[in-house]
Amino acid sequence: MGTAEGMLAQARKSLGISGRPNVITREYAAHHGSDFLKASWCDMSITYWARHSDNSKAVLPAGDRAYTVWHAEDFQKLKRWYSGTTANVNKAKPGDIVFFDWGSSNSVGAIDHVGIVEKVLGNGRVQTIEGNTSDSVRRRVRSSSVIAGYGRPAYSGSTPNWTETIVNKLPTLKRGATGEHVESLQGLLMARSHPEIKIDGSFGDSTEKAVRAVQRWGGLHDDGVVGPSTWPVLLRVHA
Amino acid sequence: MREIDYMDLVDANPDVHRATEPDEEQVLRALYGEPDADGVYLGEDA
Repeated sequence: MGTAEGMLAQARKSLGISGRPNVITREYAAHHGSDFLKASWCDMSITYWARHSDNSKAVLPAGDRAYTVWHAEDFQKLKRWYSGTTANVNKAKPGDIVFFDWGSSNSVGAIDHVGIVEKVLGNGRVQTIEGNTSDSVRRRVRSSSVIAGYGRPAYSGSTPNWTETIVNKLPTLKRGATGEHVESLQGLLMARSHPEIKIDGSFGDSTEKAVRAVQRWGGLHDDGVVGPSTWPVLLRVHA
Repeated sequence: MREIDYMDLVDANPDVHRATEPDEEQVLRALYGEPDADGVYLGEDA
């Protein structure tokens, strides 16, 4: 099994490939029939990069794909699908497979194009590598307004980064909680421009109100509960 | 239906083939330098 970085390395090698048939459509056609030689090849590119980086199992969980809707559905069935909201796009990772619908519907059935996330730019935008955009492999910048969603392949060899490691060790806190973790939370809230907070280790009304405000600022659902999505915002390490 | 029967539905929208962000060139140039003659931003991957 490969890694996200290996998948991206293959995509980068393909930059500049253009026209059809090309090496990507030829390989797909060799496996699935000559009709694919001159067919639209964005998802064939994803298939090609996965095959050549030992990522077929992670990126193509139901096998090779050229039809984007089926590929998105593969990720949905595995519960590895994230709809294309601005908040979700901000949480995308390099190596995620990003699907486009152009009509802001976030509807899987409307998807007609796919690429791979190379960088997460923030503000609901990602920089991608896409096959068959202007009939070539190119880098693009795309926003949540055209992203239906993304699939997160179960790459192997990917270890949690330090942020995930820390956040996974932090408890979920809500009204009524007490103790040193609440004191840490209150310190972070003070640092996030909430000077009204007192560090008393007691999660009460004022703490909850400040948490909700920070959640809204971070594009999260403001439920007042501090968990795996809210800690990164408080720590300023969210995407 | 076979997969090939759906292929007319792939890459059909004109936005597939053009920038959808007004500052795309500016962002890509900042990340990867000047594009090649075909407008592809290769960066150090060329």
